[in-house]
Amino acid sequence: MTTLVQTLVSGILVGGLYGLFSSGLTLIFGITRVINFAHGDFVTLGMYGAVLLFASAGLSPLIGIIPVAIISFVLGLIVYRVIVRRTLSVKGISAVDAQHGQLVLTLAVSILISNVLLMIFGPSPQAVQGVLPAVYNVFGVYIAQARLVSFVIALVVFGLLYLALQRTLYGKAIRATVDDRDMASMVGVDPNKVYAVSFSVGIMLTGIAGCVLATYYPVTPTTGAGFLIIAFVTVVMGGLGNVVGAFVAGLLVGIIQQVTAIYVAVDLQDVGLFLVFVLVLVLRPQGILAGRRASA
Amino acid sequence: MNPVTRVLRSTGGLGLVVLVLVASLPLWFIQTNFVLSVATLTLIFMAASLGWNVISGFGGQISFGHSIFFGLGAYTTAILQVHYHLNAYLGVLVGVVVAVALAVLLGAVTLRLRGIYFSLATFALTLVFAILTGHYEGFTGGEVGLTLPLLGDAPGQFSFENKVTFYWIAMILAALAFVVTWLVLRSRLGLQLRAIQADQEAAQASGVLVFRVKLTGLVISAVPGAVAGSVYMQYIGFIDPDSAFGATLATQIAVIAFVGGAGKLWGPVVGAVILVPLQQLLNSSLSAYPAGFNLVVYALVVLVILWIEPRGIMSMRIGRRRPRPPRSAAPPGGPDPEPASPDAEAAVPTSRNGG
Amino acid sequence: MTDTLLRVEGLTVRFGGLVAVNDVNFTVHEGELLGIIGPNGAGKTTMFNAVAGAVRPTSGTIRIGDELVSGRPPERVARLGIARTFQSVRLFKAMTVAENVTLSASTVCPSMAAARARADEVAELLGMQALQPIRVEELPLADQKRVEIARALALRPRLLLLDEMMSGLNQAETRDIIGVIKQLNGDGLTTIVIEHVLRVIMELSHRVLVLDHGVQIAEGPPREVMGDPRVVEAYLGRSAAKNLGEPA
Repeated sequence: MTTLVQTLVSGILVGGLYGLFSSGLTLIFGITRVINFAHGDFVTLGMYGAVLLFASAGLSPLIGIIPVAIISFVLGLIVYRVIVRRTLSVKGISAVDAQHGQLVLTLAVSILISNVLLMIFGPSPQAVQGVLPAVYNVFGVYIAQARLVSFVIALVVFGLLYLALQRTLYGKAIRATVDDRDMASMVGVDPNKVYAVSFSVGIMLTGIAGCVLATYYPVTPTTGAGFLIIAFVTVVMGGLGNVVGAFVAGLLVGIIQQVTAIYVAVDLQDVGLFLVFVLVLVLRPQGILAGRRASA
Repeated sequence: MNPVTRVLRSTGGLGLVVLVLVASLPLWFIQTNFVLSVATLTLIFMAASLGWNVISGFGGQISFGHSIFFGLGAYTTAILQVHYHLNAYLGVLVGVVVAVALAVLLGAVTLRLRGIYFSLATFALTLVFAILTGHYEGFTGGEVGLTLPLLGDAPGQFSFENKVTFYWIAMILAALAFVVTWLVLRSRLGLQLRAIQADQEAAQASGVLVFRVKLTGLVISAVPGAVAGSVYMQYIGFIDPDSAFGATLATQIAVIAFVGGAGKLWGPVVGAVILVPLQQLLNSSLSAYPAGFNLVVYALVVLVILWIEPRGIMSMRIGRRRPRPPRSAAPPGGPDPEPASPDAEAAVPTSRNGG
Repeated sequence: MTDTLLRVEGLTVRFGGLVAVNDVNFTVHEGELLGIIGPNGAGKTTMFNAVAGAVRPTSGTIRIGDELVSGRPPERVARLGIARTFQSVRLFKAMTVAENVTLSASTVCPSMAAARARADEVAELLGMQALQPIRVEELPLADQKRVEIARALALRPRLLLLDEMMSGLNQAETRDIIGVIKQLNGDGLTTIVIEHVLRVIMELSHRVLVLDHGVQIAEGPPREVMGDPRVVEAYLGRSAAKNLGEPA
């Protein structure tokens, strides 16, 4: 029984971060229709950001969030402006061809990022050590301080995103665009800016998730590949383009992973995830939370 | 002669010229083992990418998991040979059967849904295969991989001392894969796949049995990949989960086609000829630089090519030529399939509708 | 008495809380040309989509001859002989005219050679042989609409559904398309036309069905329907005033 509770708690705590970077991916897909293959690598970048700030300036990742968020936002803007926009500006290109172009270009960006990181940091794992070291014992269930704090931060950041989507003009334009691609201009916002902002915010959320994750998860240049798959599965489970769905699905994915790892085998945790993914595709391809959209 | 046959004839003619050139390559160019090995690998991956082109290039259902079929081909032959001492040629056949069975299963789950689900599912599935082959090591050799027994020169067992033989086998494989995609492109299946890619709803309204067509496309698409995997296995003699099912191979098969031109008959050919040698060259010549530098260069080359033309090299306009019509476009240098002046005149009567 | 080709009974389509089509009943006879009119948002296109299989009815049945249409996917409906065009042209733009038409022919012909022959036949019928090798995206809108009709005809349909063919066309182009529709119907092809340009409907239709807010409010010969007070109130009172005002 304790094992089960322990497993669920661990799953939910890591799932919050999955939910955060997956909501970034679903936001990007929902608005720009870009399937961002470099998404996992932006988690990795956030993690190395935390490692670097900690090693060079002794900055805790909790404060590091701010510079990492800003840098991630800017990187997202650059990728959008330089790469995604380029495919749309080619003369006579069809929407489908442009989307396929974006797919391969983000894939190349992924290879680029992970290998630049490999050149700089080498293949061995790096970690932020000794920040938030406490472990709480709650009725026999162990909760690491780092995991708990990370989860709370994920929750707060997601809450801010949700509020921004509900309350701000850009948020309204973004929600309108998810439902209907031509809606942004009707709300009075330049659709190109909506695309750029959504992409950058999506990357920013992802960078933040990575930065916090670094408090307890060691990073290597290829760590992102695993997160990419997690994000894909999460986004489909939550319903493509559904931000709230992605966050909730992130929690579920965390739980499924932990349950498989504890009760089946550690190295098969992503297989359990995939089985659930297939099940969702067969039974509810519109996502398990369809009908309760963030924009509703 | 109508324009369609003209294009096809030119494609066939050019194909023959290319085939003769490639076949004679060992006689006048390939002198070192390195060049021979690069050329052989180029042809093997070209075949897999040509297969990819059928469902993804023509049909628009982008697969990021064609490594599934490649890996199944490689592992099936290897496992049957190592554990059951089955003849390697039979192993290739079984590999194809296994790959086709999986294609049907995968297609049944994903091809009724929007294309993106297919992309995500194929990518996730290939990584799952990588994990599973690593986990059940009694059968697959686990993370260590499987090594074929050294048989020396045993043509009956798909084993040759002379590596030029493998080169020719790979060449025949690539040529067959090319012919298959060419036949698909000019067939009803090819036309219907292209229509699905262009506008699925309009294709349905035109009576195209969308699911059946996609599934057929996927099955045909899986075969060259599976055979390529088997030939790769026999050639290299070793396979591990990552080189069979890993993300690198999974994406490489697609990237080759995209760089050359997805949906273009010659796209995978051009893409493979550029990317595979580039990668092999970088791997061997940049070994003095820090790890990762080779792939940084590789990624930059892909980025630059697709930044210039997101539809790939076959869509690049040389000089001031008009864009070419359909996807059965001839390669640069081939006769221009663009309708000549009679058609320009023919367009005139229609303007009366507007007058 | 002519034979009934299409029979729609109790057709209702709901999207969530919105009732787009509400309990509509009508029949179309062999060789007839039925016009469907109604203000924007009246449910015309939704009803079309239901007949073509693109939208699944919430309730009600649709039959062509003895065959049940409702519940089948659009590709099966097309093969049953119901061919359609789209409100905004949806052709395979990067393909040639010949390829567009051959494609739909290929779904009903035994071989590609037969499909190409069928495409040539249709092109000849519509007088557009010269357009065959041209890519669709290079054609003006009026010609694209003709290609869409050709693509539908290649299926050898028993019933042709035309959704707002005249939108975006000038008067001469409109006349041209009207001529095509009359010619096809004169050859015996049963046709349903959705149109918001009233004079087009008046000129073409044997019979008119009027929808408003998803409800069928009138049905009958064009002149009679136009005089129906409910139609005048629902339709003429609102969006159609400018269409009537247009010089014919």
